[in-house]
Amino acid sequence: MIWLALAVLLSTTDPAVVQPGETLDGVAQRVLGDPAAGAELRALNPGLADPPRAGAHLKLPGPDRALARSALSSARHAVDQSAPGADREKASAQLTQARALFAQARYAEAANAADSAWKLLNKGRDASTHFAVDVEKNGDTRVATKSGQPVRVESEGKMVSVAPGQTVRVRKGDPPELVPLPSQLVDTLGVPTLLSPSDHRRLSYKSAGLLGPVRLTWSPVRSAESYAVTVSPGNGGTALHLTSKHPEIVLPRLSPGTYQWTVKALGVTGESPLSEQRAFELAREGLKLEVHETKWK
Amino acid sequence: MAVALSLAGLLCCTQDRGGPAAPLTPTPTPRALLHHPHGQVMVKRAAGDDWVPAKDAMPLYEDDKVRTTSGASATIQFASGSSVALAEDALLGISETHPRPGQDRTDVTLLQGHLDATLERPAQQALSVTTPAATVRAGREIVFQ
Repeated sequence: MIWLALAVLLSTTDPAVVQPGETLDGVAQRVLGDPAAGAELRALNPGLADPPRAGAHLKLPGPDRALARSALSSARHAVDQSAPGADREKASAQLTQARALFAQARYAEAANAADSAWKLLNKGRDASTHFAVDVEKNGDTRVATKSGQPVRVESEGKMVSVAPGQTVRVRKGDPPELVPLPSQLVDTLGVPTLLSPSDHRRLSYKSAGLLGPVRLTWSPVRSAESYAVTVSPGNGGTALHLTSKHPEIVLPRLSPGTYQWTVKALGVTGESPLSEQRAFELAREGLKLEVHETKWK
Repeated sequence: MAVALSLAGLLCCTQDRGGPAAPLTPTPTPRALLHHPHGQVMVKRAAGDDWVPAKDAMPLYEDDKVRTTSGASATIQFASGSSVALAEDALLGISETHPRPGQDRTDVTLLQGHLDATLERPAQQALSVTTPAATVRAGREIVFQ
């Protein structure tokens, strides 16, 4: 009786024993963490009914499955990263063959086929690889490849290849996210929006000499270190090129006339596109002549 | 019944085994060696509860933990030839013994802090690092013997 109870207990704890109502895909999910591995279980257990009988004892994959899976992953990664060409086509065909062998539970053959594909695409690539991993207290992770071959970062079922010079950030529970390089940040530097003076505004000053001061303003741009301002006289004269750390600038006094102005944001390694162009006119306010009656006769 | 009989047979043979007592578990194989401990570097064995100071060339086994405090550092050299430089305020575990179904074994679990990893010959070496958020794999992943 004790032996019988022990036998029943073993059948319920043995992962190879099919539970009531369980399909092969369900067993694959439970045991291998992969519902798609049902095909492998079918191949390993020929003649098994599908769905299998509850209590049936299945033959499960051995450690060679993990080896083959790893070889497939490496080969797939190498194919994805390779440049188009004859080697890539050949490696891709070998990878397809390796996948088919894997699905048939022919793990050793699958591993060899995948390894052949990997070797084909990695001839002579054996420079040392350096990478850094940073884990914050909340578990968030940053991975940076410094040199050598790209490293693979996997999270939430998504894999990202991190080439030398690249950094990936992974927030816990999220897929990996490539951190833009400084040169990529240039594209995200916004274009300043001009605020004042409004386009074609006429500005009058009571002065007999140069006119001003004129204050130009525009919207601040995120990540901008400074701004380059160009003021071009309408008469074709020499343009003024000025920089400002703030989204405004006061121009030096200028001759009467029409001027066009534009602004662009400057970042750490690049600049934004030019803003729209606006114009303003500097005019001398008419001098009021006050003529007093003279005492001379 | 067959299961019962085979279990009975197993117990019978075990009880009848004579001669000197054989070791119940095989001698564990070191997964890595700890080198150049600097500052306060502590190691906790998988089977122990205490943190002990690390020593140079100290072998590390599966599920051992290594901890560095402020200003401390250490290097961990794996049997494959790859190595990991552990920075200050870090907590690291040596290869998980029982990964979840569908999850591959990894060489190192970095729970907190910073490490710099090196593979001198990535075509022949592999190194995987698991963190609370991701798994990082470098090198060939698979090394055919």
